[in-house]
Amino acid sequence: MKLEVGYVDIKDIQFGAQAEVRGGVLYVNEDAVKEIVLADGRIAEVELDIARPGESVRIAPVKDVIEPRTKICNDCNIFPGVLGKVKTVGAGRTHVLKGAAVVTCGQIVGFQEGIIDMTGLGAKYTPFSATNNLVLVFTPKEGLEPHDYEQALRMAGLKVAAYLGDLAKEVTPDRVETYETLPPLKSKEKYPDLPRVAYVKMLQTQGLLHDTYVYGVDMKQSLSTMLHPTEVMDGAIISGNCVSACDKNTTYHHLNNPVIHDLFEEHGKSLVFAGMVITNENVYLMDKERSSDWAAKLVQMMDVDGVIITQEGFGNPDTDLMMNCKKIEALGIPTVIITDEYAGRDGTSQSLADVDVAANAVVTGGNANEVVTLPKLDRVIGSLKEVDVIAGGFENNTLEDGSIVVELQAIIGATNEMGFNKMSAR
Amino acid sequence: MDILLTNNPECGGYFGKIYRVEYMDAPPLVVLTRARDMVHLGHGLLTHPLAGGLPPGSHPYRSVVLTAADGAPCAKSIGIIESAVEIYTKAPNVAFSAEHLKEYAALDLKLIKGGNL
Repeated sequence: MKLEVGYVDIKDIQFGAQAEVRGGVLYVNEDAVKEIVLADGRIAEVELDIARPGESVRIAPVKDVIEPRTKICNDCNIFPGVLGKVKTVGAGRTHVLKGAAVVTCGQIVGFQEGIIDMTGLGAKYTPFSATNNLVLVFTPKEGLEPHDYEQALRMAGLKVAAYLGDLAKEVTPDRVETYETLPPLKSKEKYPDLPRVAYVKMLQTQGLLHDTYVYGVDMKQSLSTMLHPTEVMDGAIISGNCVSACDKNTTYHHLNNPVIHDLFEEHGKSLVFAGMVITNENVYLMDKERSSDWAAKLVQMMDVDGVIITQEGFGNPDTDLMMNCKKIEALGIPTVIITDEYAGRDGTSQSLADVDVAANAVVTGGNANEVVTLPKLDRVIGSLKEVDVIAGGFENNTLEDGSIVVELQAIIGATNEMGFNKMSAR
Repeated sequence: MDILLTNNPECGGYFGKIYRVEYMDAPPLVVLTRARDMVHLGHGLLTHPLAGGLPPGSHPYRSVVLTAADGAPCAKSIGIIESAVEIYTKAPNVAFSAEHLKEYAALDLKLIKGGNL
């Protein structure tokens, strides 16, 4: 499967009467976006705002971040099975508004959303301080249950991102990149001497408000399965999570998965990117056993020499991670896992809730318990009302000078377990 | 009959017909410690005792589903529950407002329910 991705560089977002992309600027018609959002009767109100890199702005509570993309295609669309048709994506051509993002903001479950700072120390920990963000701040109709609100907000964000992405249909991209995966036999024939590497991507699926959707299917009810990596670039996987902000994969992370991009980069040079498996992280131990059995079986069928495994979340998913790792290693296939740590504020506690000797090659996204003081910023988009109760916050964590003290957990994408985060020992 | 060990007052009604519900008016660590004792007596873990995406100590409710005691203790279950007890022992204690207690209770119930479709 072969996908051409055309990147249209966006250096600013502005409100304007005419919705368009011109001269590297995304012009957004506020009324048109509001109409899309308010078509869902569950949402009482939506406010639009723009946050640009370097501005003294704090966005909270953030639920999801989505990159505007579009398919140049008559019979398929971005986010298949969720918006529009369900037809398989990952082939043909896709245009991306690179440098723009839609940020959805609303208090669904008070303690589970995150923070994006556009400047200062906090900006160093989140990748979304570097994007031009169209922020949607939602108010639900009174009495709306959290899971209904999550669904309404999730869909609204995706619709707005797809609407903005469509503005790139007729725009000539600044650059075009091509990504291609071959069927296993063909890739072996073409690169007989290169090691074959597969990617196992774990998705958070513990249940309500902890879900991830694949072609619109709730992944917790699926067996582990295979995808062409390019399908992920076209929105085959979307986030429905309200979990700790630092290591949840937003929809933006899925669309821009760095493991996929790096494996494509090395494909045909130092390795063969043999393909990817997606698997879930459920609550019941039998589900964990079944899903990890299937993930191991599928990579074995792909005839690979090595596997990279990425996790999402922490706590009981650490057990899924270890099951995947040790079952694949038991087949004689070496693994590298990418995770993050909850090692306590002083960093001395055990980093993962579950461990195994098979996990002998580990990349960490950082310690989510590390405490940081974020300076007071000039403007807040959304609300800081819940900043003491969000995961990573604590009582009386707003200081007299207006700065806030939080664990990295509270910052969107700070310890991302696909390696998308900014922390590094380099 | 499988057993639901919980300190979540919302769980009793829904799960009463599916599990033998053992309600404990106690913090999560006490629930997990009780689960550990049961695992050593031959009960197997059916659900993972740690929440996913909720930091230990930052939420008030924990529910764990175990099998009836059916023979020798399961080494895998022992490893998981011992680790969970250790993590919660070290976790900080957080106070919860009444508004959030309701949200936490609903979430805890729905995670057990969601996996049991």
